[in-house]
Amino acid sequence: MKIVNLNSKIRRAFLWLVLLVLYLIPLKTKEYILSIFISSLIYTGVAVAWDIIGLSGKTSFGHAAFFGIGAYTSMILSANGVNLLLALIVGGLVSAFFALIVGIPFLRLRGPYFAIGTLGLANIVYILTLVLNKWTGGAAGFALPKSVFIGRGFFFYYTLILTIVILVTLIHYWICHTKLGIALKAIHDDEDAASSVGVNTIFYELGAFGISAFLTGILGAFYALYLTYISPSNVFSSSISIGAVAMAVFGGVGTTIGPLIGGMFLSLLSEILRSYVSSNFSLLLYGIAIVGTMLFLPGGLISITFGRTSKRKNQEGVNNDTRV
Amino acid sequence: MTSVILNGILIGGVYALLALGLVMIYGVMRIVNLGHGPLVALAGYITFSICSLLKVDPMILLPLNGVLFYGLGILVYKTLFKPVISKSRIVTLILTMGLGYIIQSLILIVWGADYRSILTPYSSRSITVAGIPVSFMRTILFLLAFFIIVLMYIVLNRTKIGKAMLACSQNLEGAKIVGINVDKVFEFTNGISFAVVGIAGTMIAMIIVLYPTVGDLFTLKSFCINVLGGLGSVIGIPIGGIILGLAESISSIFLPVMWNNGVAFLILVLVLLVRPTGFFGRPENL
Amino acid sequence: MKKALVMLLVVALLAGAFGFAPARAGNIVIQMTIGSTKAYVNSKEVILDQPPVIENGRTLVPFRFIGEAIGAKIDWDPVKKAVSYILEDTKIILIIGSTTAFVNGVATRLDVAPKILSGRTMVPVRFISETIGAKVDWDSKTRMVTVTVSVKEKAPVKIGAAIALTGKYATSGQYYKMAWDLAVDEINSEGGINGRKIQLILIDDQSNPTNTANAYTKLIQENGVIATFGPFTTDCTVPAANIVEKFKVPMLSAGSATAALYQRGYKYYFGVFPPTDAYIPPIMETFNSLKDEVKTIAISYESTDWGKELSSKLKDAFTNAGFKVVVCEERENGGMDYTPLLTKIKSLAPDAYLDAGHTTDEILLARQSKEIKFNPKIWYGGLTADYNFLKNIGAKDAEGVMGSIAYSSNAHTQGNRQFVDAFKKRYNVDDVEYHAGIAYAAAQVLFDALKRAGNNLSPEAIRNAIAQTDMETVIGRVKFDNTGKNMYSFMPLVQIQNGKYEVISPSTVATAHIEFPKPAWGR
Repeated sequence: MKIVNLNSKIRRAFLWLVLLVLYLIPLKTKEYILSIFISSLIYTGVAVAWDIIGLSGKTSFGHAAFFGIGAYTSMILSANGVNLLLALIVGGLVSAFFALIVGIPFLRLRGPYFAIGTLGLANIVYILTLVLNKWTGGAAGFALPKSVFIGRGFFFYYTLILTIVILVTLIHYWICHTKLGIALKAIHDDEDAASSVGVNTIFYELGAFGISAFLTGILGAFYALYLTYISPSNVFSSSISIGAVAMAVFGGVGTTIGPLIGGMFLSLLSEILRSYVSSNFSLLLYGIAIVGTMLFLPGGLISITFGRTSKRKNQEGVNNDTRV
Repeated sequence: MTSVILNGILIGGVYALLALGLVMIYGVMRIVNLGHGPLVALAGYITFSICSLLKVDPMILLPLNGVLFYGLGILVYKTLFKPVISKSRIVTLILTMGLGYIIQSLILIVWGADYRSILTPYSSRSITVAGIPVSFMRTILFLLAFFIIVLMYIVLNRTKIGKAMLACSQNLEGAKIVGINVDKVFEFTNGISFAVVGIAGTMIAMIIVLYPTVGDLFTLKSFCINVLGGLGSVIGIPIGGIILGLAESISSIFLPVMWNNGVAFLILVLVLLVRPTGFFGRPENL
Repeated sequence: MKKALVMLLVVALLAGAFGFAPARAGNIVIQMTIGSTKAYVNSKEVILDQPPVIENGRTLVPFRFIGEAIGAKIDWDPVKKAVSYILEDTKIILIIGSTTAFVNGVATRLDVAPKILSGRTMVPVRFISETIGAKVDWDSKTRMVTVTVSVKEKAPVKIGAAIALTGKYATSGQYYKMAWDLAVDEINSEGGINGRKIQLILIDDQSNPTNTANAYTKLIQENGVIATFGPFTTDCTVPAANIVEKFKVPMLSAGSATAALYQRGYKYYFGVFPPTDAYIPPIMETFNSLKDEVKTIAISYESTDWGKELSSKLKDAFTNAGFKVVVCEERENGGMDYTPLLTKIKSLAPDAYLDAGHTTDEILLARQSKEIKFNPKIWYGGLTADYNFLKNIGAKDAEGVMGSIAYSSNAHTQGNRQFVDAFKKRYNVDDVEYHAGIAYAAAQVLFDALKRAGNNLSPEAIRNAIAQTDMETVIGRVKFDNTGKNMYSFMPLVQIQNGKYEVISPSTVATAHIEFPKPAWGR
């Protein structure tokens, strides 16, 4: 991650201030704005979590699998009286466990094969959810009583998701600065070279994959307990997977702040467009915004302030960065 | 059982036709085109409009859309792809995703959200092959896919530009060194790939119902087939397509039909685990 | 680089500006001509019983006419021989034969006294108009009096909804908007609800439940809507229903046909769309009459809550009636190829085939059934009773296909003829799609409830008014049970015969006998 050249004390104070403001927002805003932030934060969180495995150059198109597994786990637990926090954590753990199991064979795949492979995996999990309809409700979806939602309130949900996303971001940041992060970077640059100098690639990849899945699972669990109604086609939707990738790239892939600002920007942009522009044109503008940013700011939004993150010079032809 | 296998093969041909537009774009340029589905749909919608306005047979649109989309391919390459493909593949990926949204929204703006179908006297005609009633149109699409694949093979192996494409696909640096004009090759590749998309879309529109988000389904199936067959491999496409088609058909005999997609993806995943680059994919094509 | 972003934002803002609907002007223009019984209110012709006259240089017009035209509450006291107008905070009292009028209790002198002509009470138009702040123009050539009342727009009645205008449900979602826009314009041109116009605020939820939930929260808090229409699908409706229940704002839904929704205990959710139970009786009536020829049934259903619910109800009903259900199979929705499913079902040789699905899939199922020559004696597709199905199949191939119909443009239901004509004219279409019909019925119910809720329109009052609804709409009678379900919903069984939809069941409303067995495709 790019280190900004500011006095670190000032930087730290600034961050605390920002955090304080974020937590105090609910006191001054109407609930509908909170609801917009809540849904934006969910998807942003997934983008940051996705980037954890993205650091290794493995582009997952199947994160919806972890999202959905977390969602269903937490719903089933909640329906059986388990408390919210525990349901969230167990949702994350089940996703992580699943990731570790499938990771062993899957992480051998490279580039677009990994991407499409994980896409296939998400679809398999989706179908399994339909098949196991005795436990999951199948196509009918799974619902919690209405009192659950009404009892909690937006303030509660907002504070919770904000905390979760901050934790996800901190974990991402921490990873980048530890041995794990360095190993992932090395794998990204050249997986074969890394393994030939003795980097235990499978260990580090699994670790990142597991953490990424754990965090995504928690976000999925939150989503379920917030809406109190989920159906397979919603929580396993490929738009969750691909959206996470888009947000991370839009903001600046491979950085901590990148997916964060990319996610919030795209979510809020979409919301504003839909409220104030007639619906057909809002999708058009959204697409143009994405294409435009890729053309003019290929390093993502983050490159406006921090400069190009890509060190690779322009070459004619194709960049052989094997990411996808 | 025979009817199931026959149907599986025929729909496999349809899927292969759908997936062809991607193979060269990845093979030569390493672009994962998420806008593929909407482009196919666009071709279908154009066919629908021209046919209903001018009351002509959709087959006329085949060459028309082929040429139109070739031009579109050149345009898209020059304005959108060229600036980014040298920088980062994931950026290109997201760019194609944005392009897909743009096309989808244009479809919604121009044609609205209603279902559209192209109806001809032969639309749902049934013919009998080996005593089994099958879809006439699917048979035509199957033959068309076969024809285009053969054509592609000839272009790649017997023409100068085709060989240049193969060279770029296998070793870009080497291609540059021997003096191949990579930019021109890319331009041509994109052009004919889009042309294939245009033709495929025209035909496929005749056997399905068009609605604005139909492209998502196309993108998914096309990528499955490309990966199954091996990215960048032209021969892989019909193999991937037929395997997918057969998997869906045969599994429905023994399992509930809903599991079809699951089985198809399971086969994809299993193949990848055994051969991480698909059937005919080569590691250097990564 | 930065410039490009700025440009993008500018484009976005401009597009946003174009996306805005222009505000409506609120004027009432009344034109009367001396000696003529023809008057015009906002260009709509009104025939007067007594033409305006001039007396003492002042124009007198019928009191009831001018009162209603300006939108005032009028009253007539036969004892005191006084007429009164109340408009906003202004109260005017005039006494027949007296030149003294009272404006808000203050005595004012008139140039000419109101009088009775041919049994009609006539009052001085300029005095009334100017008192309420309207402009009066006199054209001596045409002898026409024009009164322009700038309606201080009474605060509009705001209602809102989130619907799928983009995304996978857009094909149906668009019809909701079309029907509601029409309904709102109709009622506003008739003066609105007790003089207040209806303002409908629609948000596109892109077929995504989180967006739906956010949209309703916004509609209630930011836009201040006091009643809502519901979204189209159950997965978007449940989060929305949670929101309106929390904020205690009523929701009237024209979508979501799952019975399970009504068991969640919502007090603020009402649905006019027939739930899955409504499909069964007409189907069973027909099938029971064919017990000799139809023994085995094959069912397939789309992979949604509705599909699952309907198919399982069908399965139970058939089994209990003594039929044999040989298969009840789930299938994907929005797929390309149903041949494996149809081949499987064909191999079981059922007498009847029923599919619980939406129009797009029914179209493909029908075409692919033809291709593999699957010809059961009865072929039923859940929602084929929609002219889109017919349009995309062609009448020849559609012959004999059966379906259930929630709304029919031919039905002799309340207001249907006018609705169909108005809809076809406004949107330039051949027919009215069924979602539009149901959405319109929801509007009929809501507007009726708004009228009954009294002058103090609070969400609570509206909710109670909806709960007491018992009226006829374009989909028939609507009355809600205590779970919010429409207890009179029914879904007649129809069959396409000669390119038209004929009602087969219930026999009370049947228009034709069933064509049995179904002819082979294309005959």
